[in-house]
Amino acid sequence: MTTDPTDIALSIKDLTVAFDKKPILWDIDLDIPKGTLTAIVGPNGAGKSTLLKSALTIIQPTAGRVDVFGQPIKRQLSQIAYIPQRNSVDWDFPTHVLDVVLMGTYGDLGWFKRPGKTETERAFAALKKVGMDTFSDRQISQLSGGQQQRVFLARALVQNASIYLMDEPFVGVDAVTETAIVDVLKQLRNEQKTIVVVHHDLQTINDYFDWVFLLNVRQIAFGKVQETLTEEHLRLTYGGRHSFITQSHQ
Amino acid sequence: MNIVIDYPVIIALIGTGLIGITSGIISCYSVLKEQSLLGDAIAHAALPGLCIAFLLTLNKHPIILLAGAISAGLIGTLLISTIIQKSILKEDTALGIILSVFFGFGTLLLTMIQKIPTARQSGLDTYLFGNASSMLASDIAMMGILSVMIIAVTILCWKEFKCLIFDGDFFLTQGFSKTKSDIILTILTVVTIIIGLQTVGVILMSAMIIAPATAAKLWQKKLGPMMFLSVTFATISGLLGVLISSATHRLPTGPTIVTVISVIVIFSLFFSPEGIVIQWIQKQRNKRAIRINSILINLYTLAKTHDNLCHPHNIETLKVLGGIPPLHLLQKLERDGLIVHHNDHDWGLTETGISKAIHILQRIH
Repeated sequence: MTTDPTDIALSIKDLTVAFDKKPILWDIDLDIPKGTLTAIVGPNGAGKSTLLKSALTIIQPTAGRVDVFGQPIKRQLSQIAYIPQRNSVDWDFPTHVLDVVLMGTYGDLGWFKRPGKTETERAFAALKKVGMDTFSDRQISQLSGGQQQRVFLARALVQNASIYLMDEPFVGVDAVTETAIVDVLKQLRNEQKTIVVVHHDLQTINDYFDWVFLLNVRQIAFGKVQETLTEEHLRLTYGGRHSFITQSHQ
Repeated sequence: MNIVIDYPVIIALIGTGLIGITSGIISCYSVLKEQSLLGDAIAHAALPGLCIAFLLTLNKHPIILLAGAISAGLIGTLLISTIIQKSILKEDTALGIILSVFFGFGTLLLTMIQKIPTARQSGLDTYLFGNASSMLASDIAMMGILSVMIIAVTILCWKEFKCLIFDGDFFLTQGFSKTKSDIILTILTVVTIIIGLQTVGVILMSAMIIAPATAAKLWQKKLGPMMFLSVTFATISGLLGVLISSATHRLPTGPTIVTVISVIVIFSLFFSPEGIVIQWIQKQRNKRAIRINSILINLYTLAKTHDNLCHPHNIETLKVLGGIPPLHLLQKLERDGLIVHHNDHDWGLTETGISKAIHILQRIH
């Protein structure tokens, strides 16, 4: 068992998101330690994606604050790489793989400046890490689901961020891609980066992650996987309806 | 019809060329943002602005009319986004409401203007369907300035607009303001539409915002080349439209331009690499290749039960293996040296045919 990291990478306090008085997220307090690989788990409509989006202020939270390494998120955006759900964009957009990955350098470049040679080299290095460097000139509409996900991961890698927030990266990807992505994530964790992943598959949590956050509008539990992924917590999260509880609980 | 290129026609051609360039650019953004109908609403919403500006000043100086049209267009856009955000109404309803309310009010004002004796000759009614020959050198100067502005902002904000449209949430996490970029892009769209109104008209201007990029997207798969093609299509249809309408008595410019661009769109829908005709040909080729392969595989399967893999079979036997192949395909395979026929109905593989069949089977499994 590793010692608990003392640094808190991402700190969420009293976060509440509501649409028309209906709470999507209710009073979330979460301190994610630096250098960990955390899964956010919960049923559909539990607010998992909303948690990521409101932490990034893509959605304005009704209340609460988010700090990154002790500083307000607004000033720390460059520390965070966001990997949205694959189907949140139009893959028929007229562009190619390298161009999408280069978007990860836009934050560094700021307004009006165009990516140059350095940025292109960085983008190629990121593509290589996900095994997509031979696809750099490929039109994005010709990519498979797994390849699209790898391109998104490369776009995040190019940012050289400290924190990675990923929204369901394993949905609709092949087994090879899933393994490749997990390898990259574990490597990032070993480099003391912090990774938070919205995850659906309860079977793989033990293999892929070291921390888990159970969520269903309210927070149910947060801690190391072995201690937190208990029958009772899962029942509280899924309301006893999830087949995993009866199927594979030891 | 005889084409005379005199001074007014040259002015009209320059003006329409500028409209072609700007609407070709903005068309790409509107189509990719899936907001092409917003252009329709903006164009229609501009009409009351034109009329009010004229009624307040009784002056038809283009700067005054333009200012009125731009204000009304921006107010219309603002109202549409407010309706979408603050009410339960959906986007299509909001667009429909603003378009019809503004255009209805605009038509009312236009009718009133026609009844004012001093204003009868104002020529405001040409804004409905557009009239390129009403353009003056001063109009061109102003359109030129606005066009340069639109082109400059597009070049400056190239990566920002691209990222905003492709993945707005990600754009935000890169530290850019989504709202600011959206506002800049909307202002460019409104200005583009307004400077096209005099030539193309309120009713059909939306076609110049929808059609050029729709056609270009079928040919090009990168934003830069797509925009270049979109500009080319819009400019060609603008220039051709002006030439045709100026050579024909009382033919309004707008409908002529829109007819030309529509022909380009229809042609692209059929003959571009993603077009109906090319896709159909591709499908037929694939079908034919599959049938040819299946003939070889079937003959191979039949011959496998014999010592000699070249053993010929009556083609009727293939009936049980998915049907008798047509004679022209058999003859093609014979010409390619893959099969031979022994008498009228007996066909067998050649040595090359056998290895080809084995190769196909290996690729399948």
